[in-house]
Amino acid sequence: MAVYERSYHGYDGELTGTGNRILVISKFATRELFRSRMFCAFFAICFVPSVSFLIAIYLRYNLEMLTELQIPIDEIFIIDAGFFINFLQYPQASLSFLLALVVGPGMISPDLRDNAMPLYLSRALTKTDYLLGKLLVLVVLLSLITWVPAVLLFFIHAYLGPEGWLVDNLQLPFAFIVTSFAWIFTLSLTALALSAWIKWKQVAQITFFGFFVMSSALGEAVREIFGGWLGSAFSAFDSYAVLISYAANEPVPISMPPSVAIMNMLVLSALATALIFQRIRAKEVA
Amino acid sequence: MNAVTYPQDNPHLWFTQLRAIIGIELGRVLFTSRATAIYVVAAVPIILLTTVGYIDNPRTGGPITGNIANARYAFAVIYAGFLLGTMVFLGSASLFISLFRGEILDRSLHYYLLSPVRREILAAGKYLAGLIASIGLFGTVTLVCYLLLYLPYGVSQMMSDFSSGPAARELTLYLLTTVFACIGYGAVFLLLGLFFRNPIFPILVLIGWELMHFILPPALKMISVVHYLKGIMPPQPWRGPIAVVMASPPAAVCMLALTGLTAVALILTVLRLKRIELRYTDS
Amino acid sequence: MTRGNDAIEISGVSKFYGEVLGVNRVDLTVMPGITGLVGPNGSGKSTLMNLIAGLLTPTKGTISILGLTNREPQLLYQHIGYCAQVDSFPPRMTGRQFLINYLRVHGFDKRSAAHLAHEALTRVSLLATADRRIDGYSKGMRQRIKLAQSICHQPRVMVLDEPLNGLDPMARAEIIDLFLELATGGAHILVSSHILHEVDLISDRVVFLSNGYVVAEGDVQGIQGEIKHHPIQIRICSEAAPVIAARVFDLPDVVEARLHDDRRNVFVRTRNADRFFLAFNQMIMDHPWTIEAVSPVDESVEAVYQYLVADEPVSQ
Repeated sequence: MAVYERSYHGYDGELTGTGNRILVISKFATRELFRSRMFCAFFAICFVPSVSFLIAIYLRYNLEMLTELQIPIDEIFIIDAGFFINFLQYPQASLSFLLALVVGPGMISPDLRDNAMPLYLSRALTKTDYLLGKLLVLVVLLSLITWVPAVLLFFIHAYLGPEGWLVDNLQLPFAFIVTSFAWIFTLSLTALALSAWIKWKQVAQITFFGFFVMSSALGEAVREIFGGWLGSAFSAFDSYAVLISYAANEPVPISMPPSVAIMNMLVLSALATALIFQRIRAKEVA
Repeated sequence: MNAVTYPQDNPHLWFTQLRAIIGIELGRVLFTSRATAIYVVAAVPIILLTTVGYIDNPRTGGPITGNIANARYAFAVIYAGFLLGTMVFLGSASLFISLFRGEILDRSLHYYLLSPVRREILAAGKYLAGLIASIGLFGTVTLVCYLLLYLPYGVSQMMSDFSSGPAARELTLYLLTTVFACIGYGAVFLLLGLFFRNPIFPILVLIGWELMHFILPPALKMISVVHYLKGIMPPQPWRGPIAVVMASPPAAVCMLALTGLTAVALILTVLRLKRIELRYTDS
Repeated sequence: MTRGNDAIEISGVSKFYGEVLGVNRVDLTVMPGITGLVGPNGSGKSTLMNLIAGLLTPTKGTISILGLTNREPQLLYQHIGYCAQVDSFPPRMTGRQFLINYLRVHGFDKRSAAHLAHEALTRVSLLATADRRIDGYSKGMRQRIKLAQSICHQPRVMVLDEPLNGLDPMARAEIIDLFLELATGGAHILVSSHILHEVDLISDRVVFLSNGYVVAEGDVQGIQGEIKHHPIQIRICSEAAPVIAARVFDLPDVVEARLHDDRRNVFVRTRNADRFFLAFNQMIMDHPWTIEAVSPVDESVEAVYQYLVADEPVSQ
């Protein structure tokens, strides 16, 4: 076929940066998530503890009638570092685990199952870009229910509470942010690794749940036999509890050294990352 | 066209079909890469107890558990919290849910539905295959783990405990508990796999139900598998989610009740199977 | 075991997925032979096939296959073979194992199952690779093993959803011969396809679906004849084509005459083909023209499809 006009030219205009491309993946993944009303409802429920703790802080400093009734508020209602640690460690750690359970396993598996990976990786996207795009969704969502409300509650209490409390406890927000990110990355990368290796989201969810439950149960069994902190080394929840307390300069509830807790999370995250990169491929290798 | 002659629809045919279904399903659940997770779960307590058996207490130089009574106590804790509460529960969930839900996800259930097999036989075949796999695997793990208790104490201690001590009775009760746990949880998870597109949520509800069973009113307690399992197990220490808080019925009653609960779950499975519509979508 | 009934009866069948229509008010009787199911994507072909195969239950209406319904699966599925569009198989099975295992579920003993499997594999030319795992099959081989699975128990009704997908031309020809052989033996074969000229080639009857409705059914010529308001196109090949093009407007019901660039063919559109042929015969006798060929151009599935289901592009 003769070519005579040569009027076709490839696109040579401006291209967006890598960051924008990563955000495109995150945007569409998030949009898919919020299409589900069940998910929206569940995500809303994740804020209930934050609101409850906020009300508790407000009531602590605004219920004059309790003082008039001579109820010793200062003794029964203590808002200190432990208050915020309990907030992160109990309701929010569980809710963030459930959120990762709902969101994480469905991030990568559909792309692999439906052969969308070559479509992603044949664009100007690296494997790292793809992973970051998916990871960002989990990091943002989990941040919104962990360190973000914790830091907000801290500053609200600093405003309402006694003078000098802020300066005396300035290490707390940093502790919340750092430890929460460690927890978020551990959960997210584990969920993404399972999503990358297990074809079906439902099975990946059960495996994610089973992994954490089993490791906790195993830790309990080891603790029962060997005593000491060795059993806690198997539990991601215990590692998180140790890290928060240590970072907040509070008494650590479990005798496990913080270095062990950090190593746990690092090793799990590194292993998960390696597993993810092994699966993110543009083509099947037999 | 030369039509083949089909066997008559009678118990002999049903048995042939049952055997065929069990054979296919055992291959699927035990000998594919998906079974890896279950084998890993099953290996963990064996590795743990083997380690316990070989490691000496650094202070005393003797076994970590101290004496055989402590070892049996430790096993009771491990059995309740890990073997039963995690391995059997989650292992059964993985195994039995995949029997129907896994095939729907794999888009291969239509091969069964398009076969001239009664839905009762199909449900029974899948259930029995899951049961054989789970009892075989988890029963073996329970047996091996119990015997591993005697690793630091020697064969003579083991023989003595089995011949004149409590070991034989204890082990029998643990094995029976494992068997009936597989029977009860298996039927429930088989049903959940058919009813729910995403079984994780009913699993979470079931875990909550089993964990909180001791505060449920008696009528609701009757639909809790762990309530009956407690009646079969050897007496448990006050620990973990399967703690004895209120008295369970006698073991024989518990076994009968679990069988009844299983039968109800299987009947519901068959009824669901008769109405199932297959429309393979991404969800 | 039939109950004296040799047809697939579909009466007033509708299937809704919530508010989304699958098929609506479908009335069909499918007799032995090959029936082609034609329609664009989303027209309801797979829904109708799944309904016939019993994998779906109609929202309204009834379906009976040789007098049986899906309330008795142990009887019905002795007589139905289904080749689904989905390309999925149980894991870790060879082709032969796949056939034998499900034949055993049918109730056949080991020897019969092995024999039937062997026959089916031979028919679809997959014997050489029968002992290889299906995971390692090419697309064409996967399609053939699906076909083998649908015919191995020698059913009287075969519901085949795009059975020629992924097959090379040689394999397509072999499979088409197989369908023709089975149909000649009295089987009911229901085939859906986008390849219209193949549907034309093999089908005794065609059912056209569009937006969940049956818009036409029957043999192609019959359908064309029924479409009275749509002019039929006729090709006349002659050295005198330019003259004929001018003169045909004298004939009744002619609405268009188009001379081909080669000036040897003229395409005439007429509202009434029978009357046109009678009148044209008379015209030929009155003139010294040598007519090389006269043939209807629209008597193909594609032409009817284009007219009835005009919105969707036809894939070739």
